[in-house]
Amino acid sequence: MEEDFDRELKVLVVGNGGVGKTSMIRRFAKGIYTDEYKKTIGVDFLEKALFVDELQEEVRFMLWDTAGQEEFDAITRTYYRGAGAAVIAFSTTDRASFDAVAMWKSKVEAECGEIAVALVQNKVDLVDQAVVSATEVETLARKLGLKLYRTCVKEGINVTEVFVYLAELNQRKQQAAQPPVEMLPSKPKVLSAEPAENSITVDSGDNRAQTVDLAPSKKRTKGKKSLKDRMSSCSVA
Amino acid sequence: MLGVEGSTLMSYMEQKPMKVKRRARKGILPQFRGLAWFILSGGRALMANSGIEGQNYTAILQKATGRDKTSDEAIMRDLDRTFPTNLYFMDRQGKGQLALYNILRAYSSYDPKVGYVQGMSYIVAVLLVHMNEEQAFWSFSSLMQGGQLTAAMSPAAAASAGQGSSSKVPASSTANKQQQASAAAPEAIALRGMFTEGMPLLQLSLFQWQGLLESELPKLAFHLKTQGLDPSLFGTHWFNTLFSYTLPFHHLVRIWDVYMVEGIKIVFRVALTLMKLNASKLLAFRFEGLVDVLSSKKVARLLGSLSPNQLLQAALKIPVSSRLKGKGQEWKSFVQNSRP
Repeated sequence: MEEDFDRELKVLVVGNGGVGKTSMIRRFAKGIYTDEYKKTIGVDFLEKALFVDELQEEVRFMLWDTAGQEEFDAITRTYYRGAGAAVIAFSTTDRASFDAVAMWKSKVEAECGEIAVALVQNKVDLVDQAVVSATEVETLARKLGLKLYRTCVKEGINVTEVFVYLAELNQRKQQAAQPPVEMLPSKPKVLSAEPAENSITVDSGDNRAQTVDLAPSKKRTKGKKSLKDRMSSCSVA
Repeated sequence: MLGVEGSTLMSYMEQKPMKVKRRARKGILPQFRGLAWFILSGGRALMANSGIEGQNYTAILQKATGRDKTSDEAIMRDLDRTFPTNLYFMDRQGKGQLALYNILRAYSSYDPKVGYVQGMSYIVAVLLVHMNEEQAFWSFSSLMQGGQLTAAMSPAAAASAGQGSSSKVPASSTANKQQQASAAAPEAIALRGMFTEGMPLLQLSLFQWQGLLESELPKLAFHLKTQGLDPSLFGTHWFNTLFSYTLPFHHLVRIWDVYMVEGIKIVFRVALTLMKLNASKLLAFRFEGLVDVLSSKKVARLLGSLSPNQLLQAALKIPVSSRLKGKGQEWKSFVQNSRP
């Protein structure tokens, strides 16, 4: 039996319709791009194994593609469970998709707690059609406490970087949460390893937003060594 | 059996519904398909009734212009992403995309409670390949209301369809009349429920699907479950696009021939056939492999070398009605009990 020390990370990719979520996942997982994608109806899934230098470890990214239209929440929400990271994507050329970023963040937080999240501005090659300014994007990223990546999925610019960052951040969050002597519900400050001072607290109306999910990204480790054990031997660069 | 302007088909539907059913199962001739669908979907009747009330497509479309910006943008975004490789829909601002845009816009104003939801564009596109824009609009609207003339098949269904089905259709009184006129339309077959808030019909269909799979292919059902593969992951677009998202056209139109007369049952039957055909292969895969094989891009491969005829023959052999009904009742009481 082959021994596999793969680390698994479930990554959600969310954001309004048409911002390039499917293309981004395909670009990252398969290195390809076409502009003939169908819209995603419901959810889709792809995986990608990548050796992450910064972690000195191979990470298996389980990439969950979700329909951007809100009506599909009824279906897509179930797939939020167990995610260890999320990409919130919007498009340079779609104002509404930018305006919806905070809403997507609170949706992710409501279902998953404070997992690793990155903000992705896609289609940066279309600057001449831009409907959001660089400053307002940066301001929003700071306000939400998210690291911003500007990508051009079409040209494959900055795409892998997003996922590598998420893998690192996920690990940092888990390490920070490693000796949780007493359990929740009080909101442990340490867990928000990212710039927390400026982050707005998204209140979902109950305590769910504050619940931090410390479980590994997936529960299907099938008797393999637990993720936590494996990770305690890693160091952050 | 179509007759002049479909007149024969109309009378057959009333007098010899079983014959219509048999013929649809055998496949409608391509040259008659457009007109037959227009009639069988209830589209033509709806158009006529609406006309009497002074509601015509042009007026609806005009009213829709500039009405709902968000919905408009969502539609526009999807035009390019509906059958992106089909000649008719390929070109931005081409004929196909323009007609698609018009219909979806018109519908979202005609039925504002639903508006535009992804999945619809695929259904409209398939209709558009077979008929003109106005006909496609009315056919779609009628399907959304469950306007098939299925009830002609069984008087009992017709009787039950008369009750309670009118409250949730668009507020126009023509729609209600159409419901009674076609006498079909129990809510369960109104496609609208695939797209309304919470997608009740989709949820019901997925629940029924799980039950069917468990009784038909228990081993496979168990395997999918233990691998964590919920039917919503691969089955959503089977149901809310009636396979138009994934299956090749030659197979698709045959499925739709039956759908127009018998409703959503055929979708379950075809899906079961695909699963049966691939069961041993699927049993060998773990989660990632399963998602891949069942993913939307590959559904067509599940057909193997099955011709449209063979697919239909195999599918129609699987009895589903009573099981669907049983699961439907189970779901109904489940939903009722889980209400606060």
